[in-house]
Amino acid sequence: MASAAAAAQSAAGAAGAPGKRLVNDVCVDMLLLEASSYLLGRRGKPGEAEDLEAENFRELHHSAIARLESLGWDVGCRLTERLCQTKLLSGEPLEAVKFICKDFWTEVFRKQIDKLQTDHRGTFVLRELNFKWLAKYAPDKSRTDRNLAWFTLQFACGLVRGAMATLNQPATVKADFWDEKTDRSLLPAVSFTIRLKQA
Amino acid sequence: MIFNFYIFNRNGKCLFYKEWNRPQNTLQHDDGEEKRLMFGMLYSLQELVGKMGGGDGKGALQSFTTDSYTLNFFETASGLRFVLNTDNRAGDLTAILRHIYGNIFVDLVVKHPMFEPKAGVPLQLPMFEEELEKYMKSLPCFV
Amino acid sequence: MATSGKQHTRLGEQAWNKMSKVNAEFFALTYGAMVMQLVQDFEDTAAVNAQLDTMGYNIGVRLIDEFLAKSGTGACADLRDTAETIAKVAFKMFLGVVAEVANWNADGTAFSVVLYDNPLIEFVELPPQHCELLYSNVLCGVIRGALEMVQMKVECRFARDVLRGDDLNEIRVELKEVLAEQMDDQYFEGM
Repeated sequence: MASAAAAAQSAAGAAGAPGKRLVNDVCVDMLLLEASSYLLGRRGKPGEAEDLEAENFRELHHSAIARLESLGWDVGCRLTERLCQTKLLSGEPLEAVKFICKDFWTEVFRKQIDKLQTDHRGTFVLRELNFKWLAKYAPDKSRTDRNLAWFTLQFACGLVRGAMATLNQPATVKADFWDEKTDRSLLPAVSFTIRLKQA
Repeated sequence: MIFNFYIFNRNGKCLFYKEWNRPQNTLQHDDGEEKRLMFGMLYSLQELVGKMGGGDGKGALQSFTTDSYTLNFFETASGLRFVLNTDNRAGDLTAILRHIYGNIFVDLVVKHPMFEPKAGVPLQLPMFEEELEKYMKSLPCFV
Repeated sequence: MATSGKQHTRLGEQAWNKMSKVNAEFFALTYGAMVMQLVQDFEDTAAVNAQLDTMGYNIGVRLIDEFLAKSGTGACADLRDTAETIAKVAFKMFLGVVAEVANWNADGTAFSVVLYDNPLIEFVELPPQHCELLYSNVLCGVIRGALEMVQMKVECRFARDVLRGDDLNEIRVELKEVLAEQMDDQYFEGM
């Protein structure tokens, strides 16, 4: 991770105050789309076989999945560092999770998480009712859509895990939009489950 | 009443076809041939319309009517051609084709990783089909 | 020319106001993380630059439809119109910044898009070992891909780059060919 470009980026980052400049949503859509295609080997170099409709997508593309998650992790860390320059947190896990639900989520999606639940033993479930990155997918009708939607979500998991790590709350994060009971997609609703590591 | 709908790319590859009502179909046996005829006709017609009008013909052809149907046509600067056939009572549907392009196609096709703008592969995107279906059926002229 | 410039500026602002937006910081950090990933994947800086251009191209061939559908601009009349549309409408609509058109060549086939304010590089400084990195090269690819979809084959390169010590960003765009309509082979069978 300690690449030169990374070091330079955070050094320069520390100098500026977080601004509220905006760009068109579609810029992020396109960047994620192209980064995903690149990592999945659909564009040459990280040459993995393209089989996006496979049942065992997660095995086939495990390295792309890990790389996309780590891309998210990286962004989550940096964004949190920048946001926390002006905000002090007490160090309680719940406060860190609330920070993600409010400040962090607003920064990325311009809205807060819709619902937060916890078992008070280190597990938090965040529910987003309208996750806009996945609007184009119909996972009920297409295996490819189901795989791609899940793949895209790994970036968001990385974001949240990176943010938690930066707030000194190492955790695992997984996301889902599939209701096992009815065997149907819940999109556009998505839930994220955060489990603290020491719990 | 809405009959059917085509999307062609610049080279004449049919990216999408959907049929709702089709009282008469003499080309049932060969829909590849039908799509080719459809695009070929539009291409020639556009050229002719352009020559007669003195410009390059871009945007000149919007619709034409026969005794049994009206063909509505919309071409984008990126070379996509949207074609919607209706009966003769449906009215001007240019705005509807623009809506399909600007609000359904752009959001659900262009942003979908499986769409390859240069490849001309037929679209198999269920969310696009679903939203298109919903929109078409909501139109007063659908039935 | 002056009035047409104003018209482009207005169109750009109208389009920008309609768009749903996201924090530029998040976008810039995501872009930065992707560039870092490429720097790790390719040893050679030239290969990273080429990859960024390719990724931009892949984005451009899609983005053109978003642009045409939502900007309210029609087909451009000529290359001058195209240049102004890129600088004043497209840059504004997508990145929220206005660029300038400058440095036309004598026969009117090449121009520069000058960008004083580049949201991609807000938190970036290039370390000496990566001084050849064209960090924002994705923009060249986007312009090239988008113009190809409207039948203009162009070459696009970063002529000046703030990250490499220049006082502004300059993207040079050269028109190589206006592509003719080309029908698919199936239409020539049996002719």
